[in-house]
Amino acid sequence: MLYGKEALLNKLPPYQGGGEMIATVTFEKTTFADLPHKFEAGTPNIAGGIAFGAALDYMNAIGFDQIAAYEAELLDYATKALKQIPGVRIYGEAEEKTAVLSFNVEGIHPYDIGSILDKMGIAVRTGHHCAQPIMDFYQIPGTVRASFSFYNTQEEIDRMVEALQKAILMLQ
Amino acid sequence: MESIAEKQQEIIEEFSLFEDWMQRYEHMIDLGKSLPLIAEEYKTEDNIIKGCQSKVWVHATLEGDQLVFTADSDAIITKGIIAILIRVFSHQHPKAILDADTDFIDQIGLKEHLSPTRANGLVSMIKQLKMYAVAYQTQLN
Repeated sequence: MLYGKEALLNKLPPYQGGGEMIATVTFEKTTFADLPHKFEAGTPNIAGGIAFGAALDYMNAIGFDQIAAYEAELLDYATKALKQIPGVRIYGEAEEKTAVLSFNVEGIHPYDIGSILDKMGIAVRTGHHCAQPIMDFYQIPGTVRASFSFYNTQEEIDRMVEALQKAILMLQ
Repeated sequence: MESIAEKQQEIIEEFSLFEDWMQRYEHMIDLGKSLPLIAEEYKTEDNIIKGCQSKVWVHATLEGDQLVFTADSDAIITKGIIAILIRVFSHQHPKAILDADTDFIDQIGLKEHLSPTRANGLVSMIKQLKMYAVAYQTQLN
Protein backbone atom coordinates (compact mmCIF):
# COMPACT_ATOMS: atom_id res chain seq x y z
CA MET A 1 0.00 0.00 0.00
CA LEU A 2 1.44 3.36 -1.02
CA TYR A 3 0.20 6.71 0.29
CA GLY A 4 1.42 10.27 -0.07
CA LYS A 5 0.71 13.63 1.57
CA GLU A 6 -1.93 15.60 -0.30
CA ALA A 7 0.04 18.87 -0.44
CA LEU A 8 3.05 17.09 -1.93
CA LEU A 9 1.00 15.03 -4.34
CA ASN A 10 -0.59 18.28 -5.58
CA LYS A 11 2.87 19.65 -6.36
CA LEU A 12 4.04 16.48 -8.07
CA PRO A 13 3.62 16.45 -11.87
CA PRO A 14 1.89 13.40 -13.44
CA TYR A 15 4.29 10.64 -14.49
CA GLN A 16 2.28 9.57 -17.52
CA GLY A 17 -0.61 10.74 -19.68
CA GLY A 18 -3.86 8.98 -20.51
CA GLY A 19 -7.63 9.05 -20.12
CA GLU A 20 -9.21 10.79 -17.11
CA MET A 21 -6.08 12.55 -15.90
CA ILE A 22 -6.74 15.85 -17.72
CA ALA A 23 -8.93 18.80 -16.62
CA THR A 24 -8.56 21.25 -19.53
CA VAL A 25 -6.24 21.38 -22.50
CA THR A 26 -5.63 24.44 -24.69
CA PHE A 27 -2.64 25.47 -26.80
CA GLU A 28 -1.66 27.82 -24.00
CA LYS A 29 -2.06 25.67 -20.96
CA THR A 30 -2.91 22.22 -19.64
CA THR A 31 -4.41 21.60 -16.25
CA PHE A 32 -4.67 18.20 -14.69
CA ALA A 33 -7.51 16.48 -12.91
CA ASP A 34 -7.68 16.49 -9.11
CA LEU A 35 -6.12 13.81 -6.98
CA PRO A 36 -5.99 10.90 -7.30
CA HIS A 37 -7.04 11.01 -10.98
CA LYS A 38 -3.96 12.99 -11.96
CA PHE A 39 -1.88 9.88 -11.28
CA GLU A 40 -4.33 7.36 -12.66
CA ALA A 41 -4.03 7.69 -16.41
CA GLY A 42 -6.12 5.36 -18.51
CA THR A 43 -8.32 2.51 -17.36
CA PRO A 44 -7.49 1.77 -13.76
CA ASN A 45 -6.76 -1.76 -12.60
CA ILE A 46 -10.40 -2.34 -11.66
CA ALA A 47 -10.25 -6.13 -11.62
CA GLY A 48 -7.09 -5.94 -9.50
CA GLY A 49 -8.78 -3.61 -7.01
CA ILE A 50 -11.80 -5.86 -6.62
CA ALA A 51 -9.62 -8.96 -6.34
CA PHE A 52 -7.46 -7.27 -3.71
CA GLY A 53 -10.57 -6.58 -1.62
CA ALA A 54 -11.73 -10.17 -2.02
CA ALA A 55 -8.27 -11.45 -1.08
CA LEU A 56 -8.23 -9.32 2.08
CA ASP A 57 -11.72 -10.52 3.03
CA TYR A 58 -10.56 -14.09 2.53
CA MET A 59 -7.47 -13.65 4.68
CA ASN A 60 -9.38 -11.78 7.39
CA ALA A 61 -11.90 -14.61 7.51
CA ILE A 62 -9.08 -17.04 8.29
CA GLY A 63 -7.28 -14.60 10.58
CA PHE A 64 -3.75 -13.28 10.22
CA ASP A 65 -2.63 -14.76 13.56
CA GLN A 66 -3.92 -18.12 12.48
CA ILE A 67 -2.09 -17.83 9.16
CA ALA A 68 1.17 -16.83 10.85
CA ALA A 69 0.94 -19.71 13.33
CA TYR A 70 0.20 -22.26 10.61
CA GLU A 71 3.03 -21.02 8.38
CA ALA A 72 5.44 -21.20 11.34
CA GLU A 73 4.32 -24.78 11.88
CA LEU A 74 4.95 -25.65 8.21
CA LEU A 75 8.38 -24.03 8.35
CA ASP A 76 9.29 -25.95 11.47
CA TYR A 77 8.07 -29.21 9.95
CA ALA A 78 10.05 -28.63 6.73
CA THR A 79 13.19 -27.52 8.59
CA LYS A 80 13.18 -30.67 10.71
CA ALA A 81 12.56 -32.86 7.66
CA LEU A 82 15.38 -31.30 5.64
CA LYS A 83 17.81 -31.66 8.52
CA GLN A 84 17.33 -35.42 8.33
CA ILE A 85 18.84 -35.47 4.84
CA PRO A 86 22.63 -35.87 4.87
CA GLY A 87 24.54 -33.02 3.24
CA VAL A 88 21.75 -30.45 3.51
CA ARG A 89 22.74 -27.06 4.82
CA ILE A 90 20.06 -24.53 5.73
CA TYR A 91 20.82 -20.81 5.40
CA GLY A 92 19.08 -18.55 7.90
CA GLU A 93 17.47 -19.92 11.02
CA ALA A 94 16.38 -16.78 12.85
CA GLU A 95 13.60 -17.43 15.30
CA GLU A 96 11.04 -15.06 13.83
CA LYS A 97 11.88 -15.99 10.25
CA THR A 98 9.11 -15.89 7.68
CA ALA A 99 8.15 -19.21 6.07
CA VAL A 100 11.00 -19.49 3.57
CA LEU A 101 13.65 -22.18 3.60
CA SER A 102 16.93 -21.54 1.79
CA PHE A 103 19.24 -24.51 1.50
CA ASN A 104 21.94 -26.29 -0.46
CA VAL A 105 23.08 -29.87 -0.72
CA GLU A 106 26.80 -30.46 -0.43
CA GLY A 107 28.51 -30.86 -3.77
CA ILE A 108 25.42 -30.13 -5.87
CA HIS A 109 24.64 -26.90 -7.70
CA PRO A 110 21.35 -25.39 -6.53
CA TYR A 111 20.22 -24.94 -10.11
CA ASP A 112 20.57 -28.67 -10.78
CA ILE A 113 18.38 -29.46 -7.79
CA GLY A 114 15.81 -26.91 -8.91
CA SER A 115 15.70 -28.39 -12.42
CA ILE A 116 15.12 -31.94 -11.21
CA LEU A 117 12.55 -30.87 -8.59
CA ASP A 118 10.74 -28.97 -11.33
CA LYS A 119 10.56 -32.13 -13.44
CA MET A 120 8.93 -33.85 -10.46
CA GLY A 121 6.34 -31.11 -10.11
CA ILE A 122 7.89 -29.35 -7.12
CA ALA A 123 8.15 -25.59 -7.52
CA VAL A 124 11.08 -23.94 -5.74
CA ARG A 125 13.22 -20.94 -6.54
CA THR A 126 16.93 -21.14 -7.18
CA GLY A 127 19.63 -18.54 -7.64
CA HIS A 128 20.97 -15.68 -5.59
CA HIS A 129 17.52 -14.27 -4.79
CA CYS A 130 18.72 -10.74 -5.54
CA ALA A 131 21.12 -11.06 -2.59
CA GLN A 132 24.50 -11.56 -4.25
CA PRO A 133 26.59 -10.09 -1.40
CA ILE A 134 25.38 -12.73 1.03
CA MET A 135 25.98 -15.49 -1.53
CA ASP A 136 29.56 -14.17 -1.84
CA PHE A 137 29.81 -14.19 1.95
CA TYR A 138 28.88 -17.87 2.06
CA GLN A 139 30.90 -18.50 -1.14
CA ILE A 140 28.04 -20.25 -2.86
CA PRO A 141 26.58 -19.71 -6.34
CA GLY A 142 23.06 -19.52 -4.89
CA THR A 143 20.58 -21.54 -2.90
CA VAL A 144 17.44 -23.54 -3.42
CA ARG A 145 14.54 -21.82 -1.72
CA ALA A 146 11.18 -23.29 -0.84
CA SER A 147 8.51 -20.98 0.51
CA PHE A 148 5.40 -22.02 2.35
CA SER A 149 2.07 -20.31 2.55
CA PHE A 150 -1.11 -21.04 4.46
CA TYR A 151 -2.52 -22.99 1.52
CA ASN A 152 0.37 -25.48 1.62
CA THR A 153 0.21 -28.72 3.58
CA GLN A 154 2.56 -31.02 5.45
CA GLU A 155 1.85 -33.66 2.85
CA GLU A 156 3.26 -31.35 0.19
CA ILE A 157 6.40 -30.92 2.27
CA ASP A 158 6.68 -34.71 2.49
CA ARG A 159 6.49 -34.86 -1.30
CA MET A 160 9.13 -32.17 -1.63
CA VAL A 161 11.47 -34.04 0.70
CA GLU A 162 10.91 -37.27 -1.19
CA ALA A 163 11.59 -35.55 -4.51
CA LEU A 164 14.69 -33.89 -3.08
CA GLN A 165 16.06 -37.26 -2.00
CA LYS A 166 15.53 -38.60 -5.53
CA ALA A 167 17.19 -35.53 -7.01
CA ILE A 168 20.21 -35.99 -4.74
CA LEU A 169 20.53 -39.63 -5.83
CA MET A 170 20.48 -38.55 -9.46
CA LEU A 171 22.92 -35.71 -9.08
CA GLN A 172 25.51 -37.07 -6.72
CA MET B 1 35.58 -39.16 -38.71
CA GLU B 2 31.85 -38.73 -38.45
CA SER B 3 30.36 -35.54 -39.78
CA ILE B 4 28.44 -33.07 -37.62
CA ALA B 5 25.18 -34.19 -39.21
CA GLU B 6 25.93 -37.83 -38.41
CA LYS B 7 26.70 -37.05 -34.81
CA GLN B 8 23.54 -35.00 -34.51
CA GLN B 9 21.51 -37.90 -35.91
CA GLU B 10 23.14 -40.21 -33.40
CA ILE B 11 22.11 -37.95 -30.53
CA ILE B 12 18.55 -37.63 -31.84
CA GLU B 13 18.27 -41.43 -31.91
CA GLU B 14 19.82 -41.73 -28.48
CA PHE B 15 17.35 -39.32 -26.92
CA SER B 16 14.39 -40.98 -28.60
CA LEU B 17 15.14 -44.19 -26.72
CA PHE B 18 14.06 -42.66 -23.44
CA GLU B 19 10.47 -42.65 -22.34
CA ASP B 20 10.36 -39.53 -20.24
CA TRP B 21 12.29 -36.44 -19.42
CA MET B 22 13.54 -37.72 -16.10
CA GLN B 23 15.41 -40.43 -17.98
CA ARG B 24 16.69 -37.90 -20.49
CA TYR B 25 17.95 -35.76 -17.64
CA GLU B 26 19.73 -38.79 -16.20
CA HIS B 27 21.29 -39.38 -19.59
CA MET B 28 22.43 -35.75 -19.78
CA ILE B 29 23.99 -36.07 -16.33
CA ASP B 30 25.86 -39.18 -17.54
CA LEU B 31 27.02 -37.35 -20.66
CA GLY B 32 28.29 -34.56 -18.43
CA LYS B 33 30.57 -37.04 -16.74
CA SER B 34 32.27 -37.85 -20.04
CA LEU B 35 32.89 -34.21 -20.90
CA PRO B 36 36.47 -33.54 -22.04
CA LEU B 37 37.51 -31.28 -19.18
CA ILE B 38 39.10 -27.92 -19.68
CA ALA B 39 42.55 -27.51 -18.11
CA GLU B 40 42.43 -25.55 -14.83
CA GLU B 41 44.64 -22.81 -16.30
CA TYR B 42 41.96 -22.01 -18.89
CA LYS B 43 39.19 -21.62 -16.29
CA THR B 44 39.48 -17.87 -16.51
CA GLU B 45 36.94 -15.05 -16.56
CA ASP B 46 37.57 -14.66 -20.30
CA ASN B 47 36.54 -18.23 -21.00
CA ILE B 48 33.27 -18.04 -19.06
CA ILE B 49 30.21 -18.07 -21.26
CA LYS B 50 27.95 -15.16 -20.45
CA GLY B 51 24.26 -15.71 -20.01
CA CYS B 52 24.31 -18.91 -17.99
CA GLN B 53 23.06 -19.03 -14.37
CA SER B 54 25.73 -21.59 -13.64
CA LYS B 55 29.34 -21.09 -14.68
CA VAL B 56 30.47 -22.60 -17.97
CA TRP B 57 34.01 -22.41 -19.26
CA VAL B 58 34.95 -23.37 -22.82
CA HIS B 59 38.34 -23.53 -24.43
CA ALA B 60 39.27 -24.31 -28.03
CA THR B 61 42.51 -25.40 -29.66
CA LEU B 62 43.42 -26.24 -33.19
CA GLU B 63 44.73 -29.74 -33.93
CA GLY B 64 45.76 -29.78 -37.55
CA ASP B 65 42.82 -28.16 -39.27
CA GLN B 66 40.34 -29.36 -36.67
CA LEU B 67 38.95 -27.47 -33.74
CA VAL B 68 38.96 -29.31 -30.42
CA PHE B 69 36.88 -28.10 -27.50
CA THR B 70 37.19 -28.69 -23.78
CA ALA B 71 34.83 -27.32 -21.14
CA ASP B 72 33.57 -27.50 -17.59
CA SER B 73 30.71 -26.22 -15.47
CA ASP B 74 29.92 -26.01 -11.77
CA ALA B 75 26.47 -27.48 -12.44
CA ILE B 76 26.11 -31.04 -13.62
CA ILE B 77 23.12 -30.62 -15.97
CA THR B 78 24.87 -27.72 -17.64
CA LYS B 79 27.88 -29.99 -18.00
CA GLY B 80 25.63 -32.44 -19.83
CA ILE B 81 24.40 -29.76 -22.19
CA ILE B 82 27.86 -28.53 -23.12
CA ALA B 83 28.99 -32.17 -23.43
CA ILE B 84 26.30 -32.76 -26.07
CA LEU B 85 27.41 -29.68 -27.99
CA ILE B 86 31.07 -30.62 -27.77
CA ARG B 87 30.35 -34.14 -28.93
CA VAL B 88 28.78 -32.64 -32.04
CA PHE B 89 31.20 -29.83 -32.76
CA SER B 90 34.60 -30.97 -31.48
CA HIS B 91 37.15 -32.47 -33.90
CA GLN B 92 35.66 -30.67 -36.86
CA HIS B 93 36.94 -28.12 -39.32
CA PRO B 94 35.98 -24.58 -38.28
CA LYS B 95 34.13 -24.13 -41.55
CA ALA B 96 32.01 -27.22 -40.89
CA ILE B 97 31.15 -25.83 -37.46
CA LEU B 98 30.16 -22.50 -38.95
CA ASP B 99 28.02 -24.12 -41.66
CA ALA B 100 26.27 -26.53 -39.29
CA ASP B 101 22.70 -25.93 -38.27
CA THR B 102 21.54 -26.78 -34.77
CA ASP B 103 18.10 -28.19 -35.56
CA PHE B 104 18.93 -31.34 -33.63
CA ILE B 105 18.41 -29.41 -30.40
CA ASP B 106 14.80 -28.74 -31.34
CA GLN B 107 14.43 -32.31 -32.54
CA ILE B 108 15.42 -33.78 -29.21
CA GLY B 109 13.16 -31.23 -27.52
CA LEU B 110 15.96 -30.00 -25.32
CA LYS B 111 14.98 -26.36 -25.36
CA GLU B 112 11.41 -26.86 -24.20
CA HIS B 113 12.55 -28.98 -21.33
CA LEU B 114 15.10 -26.55 -20.03
CA SER B 115 14.20 -23.56 -17.89
CA PRO B 116 14.22 -20.27 -19.84
CA THR B 117 17.53 -19.34 -18.17
CA ARG B 118 19.14 -22.60 -19.25
CA ALA B 119 17.66 -22.39 -22.74
CA ASN B 120 19.24 -18.93 -23.06
CA GLY B 121 22.48 -20.37 -21.76
CA LEU B 122 22.32 -23.08 -24.43
CA VAL B 123 22.00 -20.43 -27.13
CA SER B 124 24.99 -18.58 -25.67
CA MET B 125 27.03 -21.80 -25.67
CA ILE B 126 26.33 -22.44 -29.36
CA LYS B 127 27.17 -18.84 -30.15
CA GLN B 128 30.45 -19.14 -28.28
CA LEU B 129 31.46 -22.37 -30.08
CA LYS B 130 30.72 -20.68 -33.40
CA MET B 131 32.70 -17.61 -32.32
CA TYR B 132 35.71 -19.86 -31.76
CA ALA B 133 35.15 -21.33 -35.21
CA VAL B 134 35.10 -17.84 -36.74
CA ALA B 135 38.35 -16.94 -34.97
CA TYR B 136 40.19 -20.10 -36.02
CA GLN B 137 38.76 -20.06 -39.53
CA THR B 138 40.44 -16.69 -40.01
CA GLN B 139 43.67 -18.11 -38.62
CA LEU B 140 43.56 -21.06 -41.04
CA ASN B 141 43.08 -18.75 -43.98
